[in-house]
Amino acid sequence: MIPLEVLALILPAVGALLPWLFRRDPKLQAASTLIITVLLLITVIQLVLAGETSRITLGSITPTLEFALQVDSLGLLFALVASGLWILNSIYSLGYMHGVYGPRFEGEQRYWSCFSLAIVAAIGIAFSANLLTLFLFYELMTFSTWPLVTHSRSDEAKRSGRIYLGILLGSSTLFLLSAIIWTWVLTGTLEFEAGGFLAGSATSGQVSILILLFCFGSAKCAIFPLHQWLPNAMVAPTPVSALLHAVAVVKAGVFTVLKISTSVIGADLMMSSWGAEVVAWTAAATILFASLVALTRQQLKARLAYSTIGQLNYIVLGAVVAFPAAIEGAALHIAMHAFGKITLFFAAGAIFVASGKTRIDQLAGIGKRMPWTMSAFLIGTLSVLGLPPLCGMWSKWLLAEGMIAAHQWAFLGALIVSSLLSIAYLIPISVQAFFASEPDDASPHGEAPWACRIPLLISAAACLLLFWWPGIFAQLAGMVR
Amino acid sequence: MLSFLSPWAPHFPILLVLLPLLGAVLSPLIGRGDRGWAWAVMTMGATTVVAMALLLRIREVGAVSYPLGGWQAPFGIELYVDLLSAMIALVVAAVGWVVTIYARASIRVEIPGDRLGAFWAVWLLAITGLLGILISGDAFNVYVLLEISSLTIYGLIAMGRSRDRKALVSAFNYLILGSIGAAFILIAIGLLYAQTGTLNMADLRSRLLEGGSEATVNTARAFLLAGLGLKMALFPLHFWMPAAYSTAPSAVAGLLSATATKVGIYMAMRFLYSVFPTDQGALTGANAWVLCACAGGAILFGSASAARQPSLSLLLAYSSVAQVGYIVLGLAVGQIDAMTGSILHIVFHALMKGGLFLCAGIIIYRLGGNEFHRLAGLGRRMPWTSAAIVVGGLGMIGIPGTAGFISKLHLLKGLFVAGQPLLAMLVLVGSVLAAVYTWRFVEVAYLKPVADEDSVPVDEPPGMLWPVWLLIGSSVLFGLHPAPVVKLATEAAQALLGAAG
Repeated sequence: MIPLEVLALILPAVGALLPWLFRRDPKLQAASTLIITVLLLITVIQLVLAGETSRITLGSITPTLEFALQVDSLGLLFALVASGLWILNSIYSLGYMHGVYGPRFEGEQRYWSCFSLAIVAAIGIAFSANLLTLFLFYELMTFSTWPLVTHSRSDEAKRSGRIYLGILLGSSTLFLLSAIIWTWVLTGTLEFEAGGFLAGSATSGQVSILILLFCFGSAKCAIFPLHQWLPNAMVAPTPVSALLHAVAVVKAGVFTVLKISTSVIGADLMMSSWGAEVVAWTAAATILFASLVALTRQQLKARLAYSTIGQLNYIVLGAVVAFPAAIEGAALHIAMHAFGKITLFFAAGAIFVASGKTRIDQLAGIGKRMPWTMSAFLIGTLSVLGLPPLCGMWSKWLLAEGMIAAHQWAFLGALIVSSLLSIAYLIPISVQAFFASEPDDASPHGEAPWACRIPLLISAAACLLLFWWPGIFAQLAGMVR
Repeated sequence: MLSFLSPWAPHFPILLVLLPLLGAVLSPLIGRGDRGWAWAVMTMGATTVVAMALLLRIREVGAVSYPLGGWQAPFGIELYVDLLSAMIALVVAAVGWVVTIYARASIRVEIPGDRLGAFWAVWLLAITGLLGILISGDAFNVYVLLEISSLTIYGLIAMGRSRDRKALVSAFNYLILGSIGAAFILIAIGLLYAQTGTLNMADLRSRLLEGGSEATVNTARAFLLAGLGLKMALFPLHFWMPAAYSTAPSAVAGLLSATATKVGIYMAMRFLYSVFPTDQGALTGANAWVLCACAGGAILFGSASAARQPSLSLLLAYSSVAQVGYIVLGLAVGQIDAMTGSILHIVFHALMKGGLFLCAGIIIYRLGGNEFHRLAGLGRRMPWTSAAIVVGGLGMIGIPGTAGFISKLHLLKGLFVAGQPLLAMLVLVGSVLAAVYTWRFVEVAYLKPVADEDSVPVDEPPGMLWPVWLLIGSSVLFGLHPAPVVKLATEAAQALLGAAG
């Protein structure tokens, strides 16, 4: 019997092979991929139900240094989000890619294959038992998403691909890897341990430098000044943007930061070091900066991208402030932001499929033509803003509670100001869509295909339901220490 | 495993040299064309089996000394094999075998017809020389065998002339520089002989430890390092190498990149740590600093140059300059983990770079050359070859999951432990630069549209492809399950540094 967490890695890996096996038959290809996505979700749910599981070694370098898996609550949270949204994203991909590129687009196999590999990486990151394994899958994610970002193969895509790879690979090699090896040299181990394992092995100066290296090494969390890859990656097809923003890539970055904060450095050391303070201030500045830039962006996807940068740094802030409520809020925000943001991206893509529009000023009156899509967009907006009765409220609530408990008034202020700013840059989109009248010369168009609409309706519904029943996500986040 | 060979066990060291030597001598009699190739494959296969058996035996019984003709050292000629030399010998033999299998088709188009008869003899003789250096326990024999391998290699490179006339020039340049290097090494050995009156390495060491003129020893070491620096293409003495590797027949480039420079590095390890006296197992003072500076220069210069080359072969050659830098860096620091990293990188780099040069050869075989303008859309035209290059390139960067990561991890740990975080940063910067040159290929192969749609796909000869994937695939295998090799390398490093301490 294969252990469930290994199965969770094997399933998407098989999913990466299927498109090549069934290259002749697109229907079979789509069906097999969808079956795999559902099987993965079932596997992850079983893992959630199973509770405690033992550590599993995949391969070893030396007796004390292994590639290994260990399930914990934070990992389950991330895996649940990634595998759940993968289903929606796959259905959506079918609709979007076929709508935009035609039924048999070039690079189809590569697209599906890399998508599945990114999920392998996400699951691997979520369940990694030590920094080495985490680094393995972190890099796998960088490389498996590069072909997706450069999918169109235009010069612009090439340029974005360079920035993407340059920032992500450069920072992870220079900072993250050196932090990992330094930790290894200082402590003799890389195994995650609840509460951290660095205490007692490093001086406070070393801890601070390590925190800086770790946080800036995980540039997937889009902390300033390493955020540039994210808006640039908007050149990718929209399902890929959704993958980057909600399901896998950025979440892998903040997950790494959160994991390192809780299981490598430990909350006590975090709270007492100046390194964490530097990161916290940078994150707070990034939040405000990203919100201000978002105000100026007229491309819908670019505005959403900057919104993501801000939201991610909520999580980074929570992770480095490291008060229990802040950690819990940060963990919960991984899930809650994912549902809200994926709705927004799905909607942006649906608009593009149906009408070819990408700029916000083109959206006047589109709510009448695409009522389903724009209603979902509104729900996603309100969730990202953190308003009741939508799920985004809980995580923001907890984050704010954490800031108050930590007496970090400045950071609390940053959260509040950025929430106000996000009202200013997100709400007008819906207002335009529903209340402005369409220009006279508008070309008529209807809704996006159902394959695009169903996923975004489901994710919007999830935003609503998770407010009333945050259930398993809240439980898992509550167990993160 | 291999127990049927056990009656021969004591004679493994000499068999390792005798087999390819006999193969070389008999090869012209066997014939040219496929019969010559089959003979060479058989010879290398037998040699690889012996190398494997030798490694297994040494893991059991420890280092082996073999008095040639029963004459005891230091008066007779001694063969001496320990874990380090046995490991590298296995790499040389095994990679040599795989490349021999690969070479069948490629030499037919790359070697002038009138030279085919001699090719396999020269080829096997070069491998004989390289293997001989690894098992020799006698300083002068090392020199002689080095000359045997060098002279044959000059010839092999010059055979690239039918594809690229520049092969003659680069072979000539290499001949001149290689001879200067050899002269330096000879002077160093001469100085040591003058000082101690012996040529046996173990004997040399014990007499040098007894004391003597420090100036002579230091001079000898400086001459030796300069000479070996040329042989292993250590920056700034690397300039013969890119030209030689890019104009040589591609099978030869594959063989050389995997084995020849590695044997030069082995000699440096052997002489610096097992012959010359060292201070508590580490190099000190000027030696260490000069080596570190050269290695650092190699990493930065080699990687940065690789990104600007016009062809894949040249890119790979400059990447080799950088990779030699990594190995020498670990060797110069002399810390146990760093040394382990160096030894691992000798093994892993041989697999990866050997495979990469063979890929470059497949492209030459099909497209007539591997300048970047020919490679547009290669990902669609030659999917398996391109994929192998990408995987090999990821290994050059040192992405986890590839063998390159394992060696780099140990090297970096060693540098941190030795209190050299700046050198560690240098290694990491080198990795980023490696990503730059690897991605240059990836962008051309996967993002540039194919110029001529009719040319898709190009047939990839399976007889060349599977040797490539054997090398590249094993590098991935070792990237995920490196434990046995890491254990061997750690023990080899301990033995080497222990002997020094």
